[in-house]
Amino acid sequence: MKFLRGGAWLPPTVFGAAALGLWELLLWATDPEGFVLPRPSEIAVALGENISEVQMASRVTGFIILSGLAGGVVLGVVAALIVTRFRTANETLTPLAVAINAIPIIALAPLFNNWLGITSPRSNQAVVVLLVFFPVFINTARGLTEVGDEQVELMQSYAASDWRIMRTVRIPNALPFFFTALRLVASLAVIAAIVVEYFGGRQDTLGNIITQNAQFTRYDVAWAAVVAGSIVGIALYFAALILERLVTGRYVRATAAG
Amino acid sequence: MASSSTSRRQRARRSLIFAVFLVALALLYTGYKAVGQAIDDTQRDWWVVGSFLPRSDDKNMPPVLDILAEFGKAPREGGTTIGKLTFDGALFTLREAAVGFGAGTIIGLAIAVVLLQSRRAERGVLPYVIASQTVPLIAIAPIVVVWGRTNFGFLPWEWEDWMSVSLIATYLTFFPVAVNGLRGLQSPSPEATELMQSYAAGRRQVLRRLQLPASLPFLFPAFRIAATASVVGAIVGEISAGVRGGLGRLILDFAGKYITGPERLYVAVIGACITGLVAVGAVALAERLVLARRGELAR
Amino acid sequence: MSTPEPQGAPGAAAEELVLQIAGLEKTFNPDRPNAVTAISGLDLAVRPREFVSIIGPSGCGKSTLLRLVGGLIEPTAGELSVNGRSAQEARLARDYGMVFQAAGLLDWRSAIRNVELPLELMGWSKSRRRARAVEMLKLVDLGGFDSHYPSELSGGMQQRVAIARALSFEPALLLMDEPFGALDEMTREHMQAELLKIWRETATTVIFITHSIPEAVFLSTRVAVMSARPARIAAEIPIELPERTPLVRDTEEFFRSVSRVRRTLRSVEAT
Repeated sequence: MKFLRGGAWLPPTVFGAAALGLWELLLWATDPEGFVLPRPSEIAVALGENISEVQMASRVTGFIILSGLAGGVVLGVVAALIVTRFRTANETLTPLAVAINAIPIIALAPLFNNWLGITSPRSNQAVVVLLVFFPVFINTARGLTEVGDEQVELMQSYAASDWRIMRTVRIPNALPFFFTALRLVASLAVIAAIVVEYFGGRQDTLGNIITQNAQFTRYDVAWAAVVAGSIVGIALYFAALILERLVTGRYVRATAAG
Repeated sequence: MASSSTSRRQRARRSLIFAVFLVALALLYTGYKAVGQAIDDTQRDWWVVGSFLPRSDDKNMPPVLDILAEFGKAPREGGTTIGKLTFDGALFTLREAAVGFGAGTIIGLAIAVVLLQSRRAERGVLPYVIASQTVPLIAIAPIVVVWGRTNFGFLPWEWEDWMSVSLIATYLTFFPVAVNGLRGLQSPSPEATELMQSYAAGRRQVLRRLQLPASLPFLFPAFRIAATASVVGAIVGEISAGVRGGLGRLILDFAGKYITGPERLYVAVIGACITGLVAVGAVALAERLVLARRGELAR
Repeated sequence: MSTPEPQGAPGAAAEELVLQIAGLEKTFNPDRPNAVTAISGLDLAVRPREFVSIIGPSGCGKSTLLRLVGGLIEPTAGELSVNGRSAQEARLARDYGMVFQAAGLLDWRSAIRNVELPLELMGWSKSRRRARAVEMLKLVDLGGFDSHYPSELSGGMQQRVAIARALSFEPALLLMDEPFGALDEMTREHMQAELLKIWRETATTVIFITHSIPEAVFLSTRVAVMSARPARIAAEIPIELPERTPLVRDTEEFFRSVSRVRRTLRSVEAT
């Protein structure tokens, strides 16, 4: 796979190393007072010292993220497949979903806490599901419907069934749209899950480690948890990217060759 | 023109759909409450309710009419109504969001223009622009507020805490603008670029006459995402940083006093939803105005 | 207009030539395993007010040649001068008007503002460039379409705007890369007549790339036939027609020229 080759990795690695080095050096040289951004080495040490706690929390938060992500993606895709089968439903519900997507869904978290129990992870999952659902639904529905008329007409000229058209034209057309949404929600879900933990849920989560340590000005530990959250987010983003290459890579290559 | 009247009809249709949706939502809510209470009455320990399905008693799901009535009530006799409190909070939050949105747009565009100059810079930096969105900066809002208080003394104006919240909103907004902006700036065809070269146009001229106008259709979807993100950033930033005056604080306060008046929390959350819609609506309006001037709605 | 002689020997003084190319070579990815020599040992000379068509098998490097002439890419070896200057200098001096197969109009600018674009870049005053753009749109028979946006114009009209844009600053050389390739036959013939009219009125020198033999014959004072891989000018055929009106397409002279070009092209492809 091309994106796993060295050429693609070199510039970001060089840039990242340079930025980290500069950050470390700058803070080490100036040592500003009241500065809340610890040096990378301090964060690394804090991460090492609190590794078991952070690991546990990453697992708890990670489960909420993954389950919420899975639920939202499945619901979004299924809803898109159903809704786009019916013209009126599609023309009614898709603009509605676009409008609903404009509301700050994270602000609904306190309501979910009351409905599903403030200490239960269920309410956190529900918010993540809702947050993931809308981008996935909107993009997939667009991909399923924004198909070239001539492609559909060609299939109809072969007397292909609706299901056949769905499989050979609509779903392949929707894949890039779907994966764009998947990459977006992969990092969105992480942020949402951590933020929602501020409103309630279990106590042993990344969100809680961040807020509690920030309160007691143990910024290095808070940052260590932030780094852990980022690692989860980057891992999910790459998982989405690799999935995309595996699924669409082949037909993109085939088109390029032909 | 014929096309503009159809789009007006379309917009009217969408408003109608939204209104119907709100009514349907209220009916569904009320209906669910009725069913849920019926289940509660017969079988109190049904584990699904309160775990997978919302609890439906009046404390957790106050009746719709009670929520609507709450807008006009005042917490203290003769004081400001909840509706007014929410409205004021929404304005405060919108200001934070707007400042964050503006700063995020400028930073995002600047990043896009810089990355446009060199393929190597794009390859080196773009992964970090993407990775930046996995850093849950909203969660460390208190740190950002402390940082803002101690590190912006050099600015000609007094740094206030709400500006730190704007900073968090900026962090969420710059990303879609940078990514879509870069794609838009790269969107002109090779022919269009060669044409500009054949006129011996300089880099700035190409940017101004070709690349920036070509990026607008890519930028507006990003602006819409950024508008929601800036409101989310403002609300959550307020909550986690403990900044007073906005919707976020209101939601936190009302969530704390939930037992004595659950309807208030609903009012504040509805206010947050409307704020998000207003922000995106403003961007959509700007988009219509700009595209109309460019004649792109004539199609 | 005097019929130009076949360009056998480029011995004429360089000052008299708009374009002079000798031993031109272009290799893509040189020093790499995937190096491709697109053009090698290409000679061509064009005098003022000539209309030279370049024709050849598809993928033979016609567009590469045009980009080399236009100074958009650098040759690997050989000489290329435009009015005694290098292609780069000529480009910076705004000697070129280019028209591509895709009209390449900016969607967000009305027809008149598209024509004004190069004038804007060259720092003309607003009133002066507006006046010129109005004039140019009239020249291409689009008076009255000033405020139309590209999306409201047909393919042929868009291409005419592109031609007006290319001519607006009176370039020394008009470089056209299959400008009518995407148009239907009727529009195409109309546009050819239009282009001839403009050429006569503006006294421009034109280099025109096409893969339509009748088009090349109808338009040109000279047809240069290119060979493929690596490309060079294999033959030059002067075109002598009694007149340049659409009716000439049915004359014996026209057919004779067409078949001569076709035979040459065939012999080039066979080798």
